[in-house]
Amino acid sequence: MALKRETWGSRLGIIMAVAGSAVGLGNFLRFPAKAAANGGGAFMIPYLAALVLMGLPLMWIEWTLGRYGGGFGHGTAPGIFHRVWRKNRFIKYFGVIGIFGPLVIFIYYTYIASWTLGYSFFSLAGKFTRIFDQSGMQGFLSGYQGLKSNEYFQGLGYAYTFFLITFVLNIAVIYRGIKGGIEKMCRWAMPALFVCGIILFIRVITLGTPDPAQPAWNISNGFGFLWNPDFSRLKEAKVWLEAAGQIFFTLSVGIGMILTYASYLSKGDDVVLSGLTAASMNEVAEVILGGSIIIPAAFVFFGPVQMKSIVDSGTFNLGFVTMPLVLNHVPWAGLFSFIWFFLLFLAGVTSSVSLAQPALAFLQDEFDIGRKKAVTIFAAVTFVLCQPAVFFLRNGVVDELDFWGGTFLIVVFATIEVLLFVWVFGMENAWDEIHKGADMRIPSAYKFIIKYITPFFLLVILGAWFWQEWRPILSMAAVSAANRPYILATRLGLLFLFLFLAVLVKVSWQRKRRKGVQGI
Amino acid sequence: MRIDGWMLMALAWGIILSITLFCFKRIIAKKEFT
Repeated sequence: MALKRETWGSRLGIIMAVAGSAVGLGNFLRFPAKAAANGGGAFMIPYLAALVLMGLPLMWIEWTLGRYGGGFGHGTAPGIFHRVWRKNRFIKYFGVIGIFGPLVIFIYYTYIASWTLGYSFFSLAGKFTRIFDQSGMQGFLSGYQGLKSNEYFQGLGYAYTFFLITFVLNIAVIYRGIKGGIEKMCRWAMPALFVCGIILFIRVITLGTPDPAQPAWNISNGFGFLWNPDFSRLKEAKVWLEAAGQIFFTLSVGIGMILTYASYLSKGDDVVLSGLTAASMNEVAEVILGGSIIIPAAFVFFGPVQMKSIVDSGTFNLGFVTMPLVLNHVPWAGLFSFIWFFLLFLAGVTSSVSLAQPALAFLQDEFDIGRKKAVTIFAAVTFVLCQPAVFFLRNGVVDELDFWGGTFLIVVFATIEVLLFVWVFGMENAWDEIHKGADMRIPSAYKFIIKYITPFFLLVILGAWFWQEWRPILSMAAVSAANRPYILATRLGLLFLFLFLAVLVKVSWQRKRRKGVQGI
Repeated sequence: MRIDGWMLMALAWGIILSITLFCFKRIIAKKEFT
């Protein structure tokens, strides 16, 4: 007998959970760096266009597909895709991406989120508050990550301890279920995250001109560094692709987790307003808070010349090197550093629990395994899978996992979703399904946008990535000879994991067929 | 910050904040917050 599916306790609960999933480290680190490097304020034109033409439609599609699949007892893409295209025997295997992707991201994201917990602790302990130069803070990060043995760290002991704490915390939350675990945590974690963000926002805008010898290094010009537009950059295709990519990462669309979260809704629950609310909360966190903290704060201490190299130094350097250095210059450095890293930790952990949910839902829905047993299996498997990310970070394993699970496959998955929804399910059916129980109507122009513009946008992104990156990535052109065995092993491991999940889908369908489950 | 920077920032913040307020206003009005 199939187990009774869980449900959300309240509307606020699912909105906070989806927003929590979407608001991640990228909102506070990736967005400001991308905006500053791609035309400043001008970047917001392609960014908002991608939000309206691709992000919001995908958000609504995933909420709707999830709720639709949940009505048939499916919380993951294989079952949902099969329900949408019953005549096609193979479509469920494309749905494997919706379990594989979040699982792969979970493997490395949990470890990265644990750094923020470690740094929160070290902020209060004052372990890096007396470091005032870039190379010292870089050394602290490298030592923590186990890339170097130095005066700060000798080995991975601290990093591994905080990884264990973060991993156990994730497991404890998902063990308590949708309502008692994820919803409960997100209902306090999301407001806490916004409070931390607002405190830092106020601290940054009141920085004024810290160095009187450099009057141009003021907070107004700090915002200008991010927002002054360079419209000439809009002629570059790269800027438009970066903006579209950022919308993808920030909204957590194309991963499969919104499908799963929405599958716990009831048939008459609204998805239009709830989806829009979760997306808009994410945008407040990204554009208003994320855009107002790290870049303006770094500008007033480092000035315009150094800012260029800081922006180009990558998101981890921005978050773990630049920001603590900035905060070390202000009174109560330890406290503000703690608020910064705790904000990132909350953003990370509300995302990582959502990444665990598709694999759990798959075990529960398709194999009738109880939640507690499913969580135990998930914990045992992912704990083993996390180890290469921890121990082989220096060899590029995390970057490799991020490319396949967190970059390439999400665009592929979103393209499949939108094509299925519009062209197989049918636009009229899709439109009716979206509006079931809806508290507001989507403007009818979106019929055209969802049918033509969103797929076009996705196919262009996919095409551009194939064009620019396929050959160098497959040939590992940018990988050093020493790291090639690790990258190759990671790829083989990922291929094995994907095939294993595909076999599980096949087995579960055969099992259901034997049991005479209808619609299989 | 230049005037065009201020204008773009105000525009982006305005759009995002007004959509967020619109959403929460409707949800609060329906008393479906809890």
